[in-house]
Amino acid sequence: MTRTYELGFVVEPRLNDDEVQEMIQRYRGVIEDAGATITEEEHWGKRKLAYPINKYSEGRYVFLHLSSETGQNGIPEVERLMRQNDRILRYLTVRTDLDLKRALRRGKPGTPGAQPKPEAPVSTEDADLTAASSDEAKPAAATEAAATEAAATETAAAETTATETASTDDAASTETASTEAATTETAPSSDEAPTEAASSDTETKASSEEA
Amino acid sequence: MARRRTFYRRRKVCKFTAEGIEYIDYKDTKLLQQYILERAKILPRRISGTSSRHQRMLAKAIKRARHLALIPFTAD
Repeated sequence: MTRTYELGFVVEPRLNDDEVQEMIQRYRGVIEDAGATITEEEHWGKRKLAYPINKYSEGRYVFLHLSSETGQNGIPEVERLMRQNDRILRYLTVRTDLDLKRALRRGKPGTPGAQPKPEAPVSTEDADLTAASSDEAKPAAATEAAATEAAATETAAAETTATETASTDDAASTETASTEAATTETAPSSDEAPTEAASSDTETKASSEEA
Repeated sequence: MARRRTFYRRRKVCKFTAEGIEYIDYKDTKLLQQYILERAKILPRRISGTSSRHQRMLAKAIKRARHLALIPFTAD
């Protein structure tokens, strides 16, 4: 019963490639002594952190893919070393074989950690699907798009969510008011305050809309 | 209330079910970015229409990605 893992970690940005390699070699020793192997190394290089960690705004990302026939892996030991190593800002171990197996059983592999720097596996170009599902998810693109095209999809999106999310038109306002409210609601990246306010209203107002 | 009679509500589609996706990778920040609000909250499935199974996978992936600072916990 082979188990696979993915061991990702972030190291300080000021370390150079050699130092990172050295670090990996040390972990490789521990892992191989325990009876597992490193099947793949993923190096993303320096990448901006989503939030500062220990005053650093960047980090070097490394992902090691491990495989163990016996289930013996040296992960506890490696994690202990990483915890003690203060040049490692973050680490994360994920077991991937179960997800892989499930994906294979269901036919279409989701390829856990296969791509080095994975693009979104779902095509955003697909017109039908984009119109259907990413109205809410990627409204920024829609807003930027040609006004004629966007207007159509936007109103459609607005109508979709209007009944659920619009909070301002409860009284006696017009159709346009509700459309506008819903548009701001569905455009998360453009404004920040309205969504927060609107979404909290959603819970309370949703029932009144249905009635 | 009745003025809404003519409203056509578009059916929400779970993107992941439609594409047959079985694993949501926490490293796929481009994908995950689409499912967080600008305050960096996870997009509720009442809005996105994601199926419950996929919402769970998505939530897990987002939380893993947050830990590694791939995506933010909050907007700053």
